[in-house]
Amino acid sequence: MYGLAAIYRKELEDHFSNVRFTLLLTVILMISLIMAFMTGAGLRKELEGFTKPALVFLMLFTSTGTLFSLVQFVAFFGPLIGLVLGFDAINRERAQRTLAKLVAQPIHRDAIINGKFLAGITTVALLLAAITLMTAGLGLWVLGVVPGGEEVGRLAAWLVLSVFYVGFWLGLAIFCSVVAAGSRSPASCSMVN
Amino acid sequence: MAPIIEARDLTKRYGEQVAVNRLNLAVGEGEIFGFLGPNGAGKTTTILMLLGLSEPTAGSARVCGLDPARDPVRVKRLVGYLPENVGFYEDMTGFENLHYVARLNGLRNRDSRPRVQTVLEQVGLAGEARKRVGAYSHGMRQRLGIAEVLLKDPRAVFLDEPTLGLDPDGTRKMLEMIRSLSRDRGITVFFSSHLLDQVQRLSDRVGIMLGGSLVAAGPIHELAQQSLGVGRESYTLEEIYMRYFRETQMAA
Repeated sequence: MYGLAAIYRKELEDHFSNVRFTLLLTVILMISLIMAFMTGAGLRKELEGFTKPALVFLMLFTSTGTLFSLVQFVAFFGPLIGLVLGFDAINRERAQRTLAKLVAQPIHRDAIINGKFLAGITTVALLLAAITLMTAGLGLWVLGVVPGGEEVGRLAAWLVLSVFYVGFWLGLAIFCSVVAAGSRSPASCSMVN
Repeated sequence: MAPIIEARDLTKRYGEQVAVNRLNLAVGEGEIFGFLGPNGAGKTTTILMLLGLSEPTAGSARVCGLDPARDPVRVKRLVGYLPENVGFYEDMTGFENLHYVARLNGLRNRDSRPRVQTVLEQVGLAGEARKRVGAYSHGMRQRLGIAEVLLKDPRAVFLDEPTLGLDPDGTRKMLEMIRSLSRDRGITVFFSSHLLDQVQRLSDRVGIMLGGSLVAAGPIHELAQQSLGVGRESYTLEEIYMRYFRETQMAA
C-alpha cells in the first residue's frame, strides 16, 4: 500500500505544479466563469415578470444562453481533460528513463498504474467540483435564487457522474500510454525493456 | 555457504529469438561478479530475470533464497538495481528524487530524510542535494543512481553498465565506490560491462556472455589457464575474452 500512496502523492503534486495543468485549469475556469455569468444574466432577463419555474437553479447549468451550457461543456471537453491528464502517464516515465528503476522498487506494477489513475481522477474531481461551485456561486449572485435540497442533490449526482465520465477517458488514455510504452521493443511483455 | 544469486538453466525467448540460453551461474555473498559481453548478448535480460522484472521462459533463479519470478516484491526489497543510463525526474532536486524512492521503499517521511542525507553523503553529493537533477553532470547522475540503490540498504546490487559514458575521473570514482560496497559493507555486486580492463581490476570472478550463452565463468586466473594454456605468467582479460569471442564466432 505504501507504494500506491507514494505514487499517488507524487503524481498529484506533479499535476498541480505542471504548466500544462495550470494552463488547462486557467482556460477552463475562464470559460466557465464567462458562461456562468452570461447564462445567469440571460436567465434573469428571461424570467422577469414570470413566476419562478421549478428547479430554476439547475437551469444555470443546462440553459444554453448565447454560447453553450456547462453540462454541454463538460460533455464535450470532459474527454479532452481526461486524455490530456493521462495520455503520457507511463511513456513519460519511459522517455525520461525512470520506468526501469520505478519497477525495480519493492512495489507491485499495478500500484504504478493505479496510483497514476487515482491521482488523475482526484485532479478531475477537484477541477469539476471547482467549476460547479463557481457557477453555482455566481448564479446565486446574479440570479438571486437560493437552491433547494432537490437541486443540490441533482447537482451532486451530476458531479459524481461527470467524474466517472471523465475517469473513463482518463483510464483509456493511461491504457494507451501503457501500450505505447511497451510496443517499442520486443520485450513488450515486460514494462521495463 | 549458499550462493546469494543463483540461476539454473535460465532461458528467455522472444518469439523465435533466444535472448538468454540455459544460463547457469552462482554468485557468493559479498563477491564482485563482473558480467561481460558485447551489446545485445543478453546481459540486461539476465539481470531483469534475476530481479523478477521479466519472467523466464524456462529455468529458474534464486536471489537471497527467494524465487524472483514468484516473489518479485520481496526480492526487490533486498536487492538494488541501477539500470543502464538511469533517468531521474529532471525538475525535482536530487534530494526529492531520492526521497520519492525512499517512500516507494516504505520509509516514512521522518525516517526518509536522514536516510537520504546519509546516502547522499556516502556518494559525495550532499552539497548538490538541493539542485535540480536537470543541472547534474553525467557523473553526478550515476552517483545519484548509486545513492538511490543504497537507500534500501541492499544485500546485493545489480549495476548495469555503471561506468558507461563516464570520464576517466568519474570512472575511477565509480569503481572505487563499487569496490567499497563489497569490501566495506559486504554487499554483493553483480555488474555488467563491456570495458574489460575495469572488470579485470575490480572483479573477484567474471562471467562471459556471448550470443545469449554464458561461455565461461570463474576467477580470471582460472579462465586464463583454461583458455590460454597453463604457465602463462601475464595475461589480460582482453586476451581471454577475445579467445572465447573467436571460438564462438567460429562455431557459429
